[in-house]
Amino acid sequence: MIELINISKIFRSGIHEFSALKNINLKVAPGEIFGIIGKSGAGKSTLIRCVNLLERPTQGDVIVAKKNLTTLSETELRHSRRQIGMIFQHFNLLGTRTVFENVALPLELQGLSKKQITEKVMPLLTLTQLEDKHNAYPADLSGGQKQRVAIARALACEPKVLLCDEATSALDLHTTKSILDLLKDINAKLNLSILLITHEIEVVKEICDRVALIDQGEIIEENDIYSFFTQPQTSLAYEFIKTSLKHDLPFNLKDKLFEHPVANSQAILRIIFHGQAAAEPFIAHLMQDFGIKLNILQANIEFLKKEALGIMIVKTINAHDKLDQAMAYLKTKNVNVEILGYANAI
Amino acid sequence: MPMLYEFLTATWQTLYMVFISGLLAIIFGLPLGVLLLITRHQQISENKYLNGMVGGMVNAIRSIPFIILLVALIPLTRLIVGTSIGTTAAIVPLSIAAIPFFGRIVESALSEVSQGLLEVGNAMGATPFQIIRKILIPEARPAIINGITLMLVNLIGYSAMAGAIGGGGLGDLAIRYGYQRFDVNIMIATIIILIIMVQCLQLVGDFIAKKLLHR
Repeated sequence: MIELINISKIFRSGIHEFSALKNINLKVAPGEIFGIIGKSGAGKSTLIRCVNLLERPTQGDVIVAKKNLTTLSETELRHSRRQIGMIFQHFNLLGTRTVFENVALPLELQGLSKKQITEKVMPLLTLTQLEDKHNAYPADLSGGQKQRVAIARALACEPKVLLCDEATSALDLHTTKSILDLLKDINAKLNLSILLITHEIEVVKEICDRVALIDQGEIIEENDIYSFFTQPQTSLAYEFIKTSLKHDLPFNLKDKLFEHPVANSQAILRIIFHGQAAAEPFIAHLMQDFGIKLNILQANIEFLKKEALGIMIVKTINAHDKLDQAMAYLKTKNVNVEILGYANAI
Repeated sequence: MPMLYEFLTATWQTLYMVFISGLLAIIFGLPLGVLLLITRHQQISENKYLNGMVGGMVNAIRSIPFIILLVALIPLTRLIVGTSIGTTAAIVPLSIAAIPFFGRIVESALSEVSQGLLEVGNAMGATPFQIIRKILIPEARPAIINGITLMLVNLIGYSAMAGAIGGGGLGDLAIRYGYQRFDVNIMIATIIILIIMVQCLQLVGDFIAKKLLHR
């Protein structure tokens, strides 16, 4: 639905050049929620602005709904932009227009009649739970309500793609959750592709199918959400996810770990399971079939886009030579298991 | 009472001069302000040369003391109105002084509209004209109304000088009776009428601006 091919953006001011984006390649499938995460100044905002050419890339092609936007004339581009909804961190509502009139604005620009506009706006206000607020002005709304108006407005032209520019960064935790639920809801109902940028890992965890990590204008990691959380490739990715998931060994064990087995040592395993695997009683199987007892040192269940992800750190007891077999068994059950090290029996 | 008649005529003349020239200033000053803004650096239709030229002209007219402008414009006034003397004739220099003033006010009001809103317009596929008409001007309306009030109050002050070319009005009355004939009572009376006029204008202007602000 969205394809960015070899996008670069260089800002020039006088003799100074700043390379904000470097050879970005990205593909967002229809109906997918794709997240781009990065620290501030990494180039996220520039990148999302390149998708609807609010920022024209210095080099590269932007293809949205099978159209190469970079080759279009101004008029054609304006036309194509109607198929790309966008919401912003600071909502960007018109203060002199009511909720209804804000949502109606893009339709007015298209020259629709008053009757057609009402027919389109009212269902959107229902979808975003704003029916009773249609005559209110933005100044009377809470942050969450403002973002709902912005979402309704972005959906007015029935876009195929929704761009979210730090859409929840100005909201508190509870409101963030409700806005993300709304985005998930419209993604499912309207089969809308969503590209969002954020610096909050929780946002990615909550709604994204795929995620890309951007650093200094480059995408340094791209993965589906489970692999991103369970097998981070870069230290930056690890830094992001560790604030959200408990991945690490308990600190009291960390110093006492050996890299290789020693006499009387026991293996410490990290077991990560999600989806169907979470439903299987594999710990019981390990005991019955392999005679391996597990001592759970740390365990928690996280929800990634409503699917369970379990992360467990266990100490094996009496595993010995059966450990390899047991690990092979777990892998057939789609359970990710790795040996973190070895610790003394006691 | 001939004096009462003089007061009524003078008040009417002042209102007539201020409102007609104010109206003309709005009609010509609004597009001028829009032009000044959109040709600015990094604006909808950036144009350094046009902006410099128009801005330069605006500054030039605003530099001329009004009493000089009044006299300097006599040939132009004669061309437009047919005469250079009288209340209607005074409208020409008043308007020409007010248009660049109001243009700058509109420019500054429009520049206060957040860049985010312009971005929204662009993202929605609005044409530059639609952005001006549907976003920029409506969002700047409260500030523009405040600017209109400011301009009208200024015009009341300027209209006092119109007496110099036989324009009449309250200022003229105050100068002729109060200053030249030392009639303090008449001077005080005209000043009171002017104060009431300015107060009413300000109240109405503030009320409308507040209504439009929705805050």
